Amino acid sequence: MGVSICFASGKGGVGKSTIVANLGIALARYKLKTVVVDGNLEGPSLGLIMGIKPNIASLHDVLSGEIGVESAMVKVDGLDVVVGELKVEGLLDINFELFERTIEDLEKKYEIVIVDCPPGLGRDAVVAISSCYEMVLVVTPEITSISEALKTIIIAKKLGTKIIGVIINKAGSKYDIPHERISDILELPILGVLPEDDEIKRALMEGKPVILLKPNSRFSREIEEVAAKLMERIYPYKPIS
Amino acid sequence: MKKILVIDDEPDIVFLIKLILEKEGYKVIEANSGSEGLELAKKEKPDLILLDVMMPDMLGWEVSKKIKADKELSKIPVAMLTVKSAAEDKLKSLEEARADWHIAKPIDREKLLSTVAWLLEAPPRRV
Repeated sequence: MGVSICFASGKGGVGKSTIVANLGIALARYKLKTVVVDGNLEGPSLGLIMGIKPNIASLHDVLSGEIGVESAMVKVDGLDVVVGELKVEGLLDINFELFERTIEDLEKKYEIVIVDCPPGLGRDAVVAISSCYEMVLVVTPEITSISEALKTIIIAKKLGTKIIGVIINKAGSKYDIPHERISDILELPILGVLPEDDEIKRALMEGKPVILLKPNSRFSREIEEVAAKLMERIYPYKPIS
Repeated sequence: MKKILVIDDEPDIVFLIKLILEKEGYKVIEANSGSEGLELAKKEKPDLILLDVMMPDMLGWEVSKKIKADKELSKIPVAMLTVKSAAEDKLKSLEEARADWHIAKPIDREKLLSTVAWLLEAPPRRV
């Protein structure tokens, strides 16, 4: 039985999907049986970030009961990906109850299931959070992101989802809230500090995750570190090769 | 010398904060209630305000709201310094009370000093 981890933020635009896409590839490279799921039903972007062609079977098809989740799998560099439907009509037939069941199914087949949570705390976000065992918060080092993260913490506690740590993204400005202060106020360990990096924009334009396009960039190296930390949590005694 | 206003109704806490901050070269002025704190803030225009929440005349959150609504005071960084440390309390500090930060009691010397130094140097900006 694998573990499901949702990546949530409260605030949109903090870079969750970019982190999930790249982290998924890093975990798959550690030979961890990994699947990433685009849980952002209203605004999916994992497919775009990973260069997956549109108009393929998606999570929306799974949640409307049309197909099983295994039929919606796409392979990217050894990683299994379930993308979202870009057309808004795809939202009409969604059965939210199927979301939790889908994640349960994936937990039986994978060692780690990563869910890219939608921003905000609407129904889709709440369903994604409650469907996962654990959560990683993604914030940017500024005050509105911290406020939104606190709201997400309140909801996660009510839903019983364990928050294992925080990733600080788009870091590096002299105006950043100091990272230790972020860890203090959220009462969470820092799993990673990822820099603002132009290579991410370039990777998006090229439709290729930055970890594949620029494996030696600071962002990619930090993602590898986060992957190693998650790996150690899941398999504390398994050496990383 | 940077001037810090401490607003707290507990004399022992004020004494401890003064001891920590004055040793680092800060000038500390004190008020023992919300209304006294507001008056002192207007008169002294401190560089930073450390503000308790649970005070008899006015909750610190109300004091922070008044400070942030006052054109002359709104740019002074305010940190809530309180035993109320649930995520809900922190959210109330940052959103409703518009404080710049929330520090949980009991006071940790190192955390207090590094937070004070940061808030004096580059308080978080609201977009």
